[in-house]
Amino acid sequence: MPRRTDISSILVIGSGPIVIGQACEFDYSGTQACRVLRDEGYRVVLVNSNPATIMTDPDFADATYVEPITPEFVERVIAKERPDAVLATLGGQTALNTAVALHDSGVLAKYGVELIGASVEAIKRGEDREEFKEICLGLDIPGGAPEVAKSHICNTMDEVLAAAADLGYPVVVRPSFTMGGVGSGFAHDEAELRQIAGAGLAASPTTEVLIEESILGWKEIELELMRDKADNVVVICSIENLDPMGVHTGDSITIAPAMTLTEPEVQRVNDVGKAIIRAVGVDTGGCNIQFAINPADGRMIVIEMNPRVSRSSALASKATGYPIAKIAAKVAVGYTLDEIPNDMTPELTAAVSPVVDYLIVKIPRFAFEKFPAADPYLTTHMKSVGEVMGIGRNFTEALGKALRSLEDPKAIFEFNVPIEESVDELLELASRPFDGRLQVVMKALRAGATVEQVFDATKIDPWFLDQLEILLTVAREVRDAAELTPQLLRQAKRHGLGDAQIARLRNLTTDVVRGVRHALGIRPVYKSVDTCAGQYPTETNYLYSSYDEETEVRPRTKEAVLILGSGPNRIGQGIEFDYSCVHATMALREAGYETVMVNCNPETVSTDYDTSDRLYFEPLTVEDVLEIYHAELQAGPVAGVICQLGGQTPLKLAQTLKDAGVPIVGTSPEAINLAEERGAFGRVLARAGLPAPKHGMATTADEAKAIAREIGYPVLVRPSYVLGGRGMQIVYNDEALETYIAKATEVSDDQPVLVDRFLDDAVEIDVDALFDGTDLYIGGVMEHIEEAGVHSGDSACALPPITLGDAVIEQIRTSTQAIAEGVGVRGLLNIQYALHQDTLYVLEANPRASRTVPFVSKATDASLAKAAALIMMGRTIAELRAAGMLRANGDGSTPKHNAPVAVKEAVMPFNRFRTSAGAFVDTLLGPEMRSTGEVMGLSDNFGTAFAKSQDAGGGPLPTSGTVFVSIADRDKRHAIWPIKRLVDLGFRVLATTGTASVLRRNGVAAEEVHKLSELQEGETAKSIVDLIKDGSIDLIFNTPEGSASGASTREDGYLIRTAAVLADVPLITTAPGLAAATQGIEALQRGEVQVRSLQEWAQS
Amino acid sequence: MSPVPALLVLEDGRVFRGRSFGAPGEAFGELVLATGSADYQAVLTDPINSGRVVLATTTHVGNAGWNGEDSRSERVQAAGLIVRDPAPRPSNFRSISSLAEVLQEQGVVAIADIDTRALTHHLRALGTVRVGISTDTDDVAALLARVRNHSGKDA
Repeated sequence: MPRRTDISSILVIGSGPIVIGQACEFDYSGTQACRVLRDEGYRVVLVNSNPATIMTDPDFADATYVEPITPEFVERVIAKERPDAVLATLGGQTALNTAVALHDSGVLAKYGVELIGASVEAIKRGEDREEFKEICLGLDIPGGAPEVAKSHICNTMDEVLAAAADLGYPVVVRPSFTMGGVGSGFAHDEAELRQIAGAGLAASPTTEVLIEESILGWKEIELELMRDKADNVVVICSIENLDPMGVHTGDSITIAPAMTLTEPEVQRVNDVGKAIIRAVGVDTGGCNIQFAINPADGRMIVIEMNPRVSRSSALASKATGYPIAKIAAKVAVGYTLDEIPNDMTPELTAAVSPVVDYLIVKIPRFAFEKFPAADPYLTTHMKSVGEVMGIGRNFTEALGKALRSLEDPKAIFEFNVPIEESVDELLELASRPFDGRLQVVMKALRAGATVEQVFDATKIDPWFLDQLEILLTVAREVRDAAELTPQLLRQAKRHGLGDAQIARLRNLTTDVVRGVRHALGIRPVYKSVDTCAGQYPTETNYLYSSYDEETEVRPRTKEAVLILGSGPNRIGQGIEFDYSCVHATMALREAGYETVMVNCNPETVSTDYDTSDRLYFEPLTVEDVLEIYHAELQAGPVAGVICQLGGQTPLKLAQTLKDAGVPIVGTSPEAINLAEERGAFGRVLARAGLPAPKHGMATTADEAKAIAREIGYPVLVRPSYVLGGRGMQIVYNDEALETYIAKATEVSDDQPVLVDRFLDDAVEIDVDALFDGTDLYIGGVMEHIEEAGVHSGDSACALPPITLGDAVIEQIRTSTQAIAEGVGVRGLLNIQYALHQDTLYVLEANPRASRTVPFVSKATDASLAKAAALIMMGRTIAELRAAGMLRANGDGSTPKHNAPVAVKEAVMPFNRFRTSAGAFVDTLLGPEMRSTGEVMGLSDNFGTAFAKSQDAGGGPLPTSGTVFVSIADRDKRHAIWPIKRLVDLGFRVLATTGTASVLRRNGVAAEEVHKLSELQEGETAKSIVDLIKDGSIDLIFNTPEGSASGASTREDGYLIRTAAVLADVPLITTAPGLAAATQGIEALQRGEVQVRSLQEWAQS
Repeated sequence: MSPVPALLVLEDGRVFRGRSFGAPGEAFGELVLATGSADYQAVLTDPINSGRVVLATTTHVGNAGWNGEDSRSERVQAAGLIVRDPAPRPSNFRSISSLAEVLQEQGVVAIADIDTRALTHHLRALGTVRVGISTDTDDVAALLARVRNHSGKDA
């Protein structure tokens, strides 16, 4: 049937900020849906609080609302836009829960909005564990109804304990309606059960958990399916988890298609899957179903289903070339699967299951180094922050590519270093899943463990273990052969061994190995993903490498530009960089180039085959990029390669690629080095007459202390050349400095420790700008609303700045220009400044796209990344102004009269990480970045924008209640008026002694409360920390003495702030923040908060 | 894993080189495509494929071994098998043998390490094609002649 014409506008709800368990796979899905729906002629209204996404680009929807994804705000959007339907199945659990809430509260009925994509009933049937269980047991299919794990639904701890008594330990805890396994886990005894189920009951919006028998060690299989209104069901993909049951699928290494099932098992899984999607009633979209199979006897159990697009469906889409979200959007508006053409071949429709003649390996990426106290074992509660995918024509090849894609030297299999541990020790280590287990498995095999022994210890299917043994045999042959013959080299490459690995095995350099390989003509070919295993002629542009015989790279006449992406998501480098890469490809395509994207991240929009003219799903390493460049050069002219938009990943390849003859466009690798290398940059600043905080480099504790004494404490210490501030710390005295140096393991003459004067009380400023060699265009100036010392990625910030005057802005302009000229920027530049006692210090310069580019672009309605791409290819800023791509007059530092105030707030993953004792890990913000995502609040005034950003980030400002105040002396004067205002607004004020007396002297009735350190032994009065924990405090103003990550962890401020973050109490830590929050609360109270689309802001 | 080289020749003269993993000898027949991910046992024993040379498009074949239940007839009916990567170790609780063992026992010639996707494209262009696999010879011309002489149906 043709698409529905009874609806003309559709509201799409996005997934909000990137968090663990719900990340950019929803940007990919949502963007596809928006594209499809607009192509079909619908008016698309989008709500998503995350400015870093492609989908919130004003080009993708008719009305884009960057507003908090809460029932209250979405209702405002509905009231204003009056959409006919809402599509909430492409925004993860956030969108789904919001839609269900709007349905249940009657809002959807009130405005006559139909929920499409999945009915509320279907959603509830799928997500309500008890209902789902009943559905499965009631299915009438050949072979009988499937089994489900024995379980009990519980709403209280008593019920939980009774369930465990019935089932016997260990048990699995699964909360209802949460995502990423939040609140779930395995409990081996009562103590663990109380802890996990307690968290689960709290995390579930319905205070419900399922307590289930443990099927630890069973094989885990997932199925992705789609169904339409005509009851056509298509199985898109099967995915096998290498890590058996017990590890969240997001944290498992997975393979598609499933490798170890027999035909009847495949059939059974498909039959059950189809029956489930029908019975649950998903009839206009997709779903993911998880199964467990006992390897000993084939007994199969259905675990759960997700009646929506998910992380797995994004992976399945990239794995098969079948664009699930796109098809789901079409099905949601009335098409049947057989009416939807297959993009890649006109012979097929979306009703045909894709057939795959390659395989993929997905490996998750973790950030445990950021949370060193966290329990590193992998469980049902997802912890990974990103993932990579490797495509190959055999398992070892795909695995090797995936491991290279991780960019972690520890991930690459080690074959040379002698093994110290015994086989038993290694098997013991490998028996519990953790990040790095696969490498331990290889080590065990090297030490002599048999496949059977490893299977017994880990329950990883022997088929995969056997493949690892094959790889080990090949590696040993390479290592021990008298001569590296062409046959041996070719075999090594076919098994996924990189040039660097081969070099290591033969004690040669990587360059030599590559040189020999090229001389022998041993290069990979490129095959394509075509959904039909080569059976039909296809138009596909989606390519992967394999050491096979025949290549499929087509000749072309247009000049190509290669864009190197940002690899797997990690803290410090994620979706924000994908935004810039995708925008570049859009701009360059329009400018007439053939755009070629290279990336290995299956979650992103950049790896959607629709995004660029050609997509190489390949690791971002020198080896792989050189091969792609070579292949593309055979196909036609190559205008250049862009390395400066994907963050540090491609940036650090630039020099080596250039040396190998690759034409790097934009800021040259030499110029990049001028900005990144401390000494060189220092000279650039000196020549320009710009001040930087005094600093030095040290390789010993004594050297460091000498520097510190000269420049004065506190100092900021860090290792050179890092991402996301890793290892950075603020140090207040000699002892702490000695401790830091002693703990820094990789300090050497080549990699010294940098010691900088740390500027307390400075206002930190971020600037994104474009430079074409002559003219400067400032994209935006952002002022941090966080205390100095918090990494800029973790800070809240405002654009335009709230306290900087014109004189400072002008100074920022001239300084930025001087740096751009001195370094030799062509394209984007990001600079961090600190304004300290009227001096504008330069902290660092990044000659590349930064993570704030999407935020700045949306706040100022300028596509900075598009402009940057064109500048890199030779256009000037003057030309871009004339073409209307940049403002004709002024720039982002001179906001237009009616431009919005934008506030960016960071989102933290702290609730994911606990120590092995079960306590939450250190939540304090510091110079090392820890946030996973961001949100944006927009309004015509700072207070409201700030209030929205807090709501979007999950910690809305209260409109009544009790505020706790504890202010550093320097800020007390600034605090008085905001606090007085809060009293007028009805708040009760609690304060510590010093603050309370100042407030009282100024007419504010403040009650005193004790800091933890002030309480005497045995005193029964509650300290402020106790009050925060028991929910008595609704808002906290605490500006610390000294600065963030204070000198001692026992400091009261640390305890207060930790308690605040854990209790989800809004916490303000700067003077400007005080004023902002107060303004925000006032606006909220007055009911003045409105919603406005980006398009409306741009027109005003 | 046998290091014995094997030769695959198509009636139009195209040549592929791989290694033997079935029985030694030669096999001739019309090429037929098998696109299933796990149904090799059924396909090889299905009488409809009698005398044909089966080309499997999936990357790894034989992963779940060979069992006593999934065959469509009492023996392998295909004349030969072409794969990219045969899994040496079968892994499934019902498996009683391995694909390689069964092929060797029943005298079925099989070749591995073939760019099966390239061959699929080639087959698509030709429509139907007769092929020959040999583990005995490297004489392409002679093998090609024998392919062209073969009727393409049951031997």
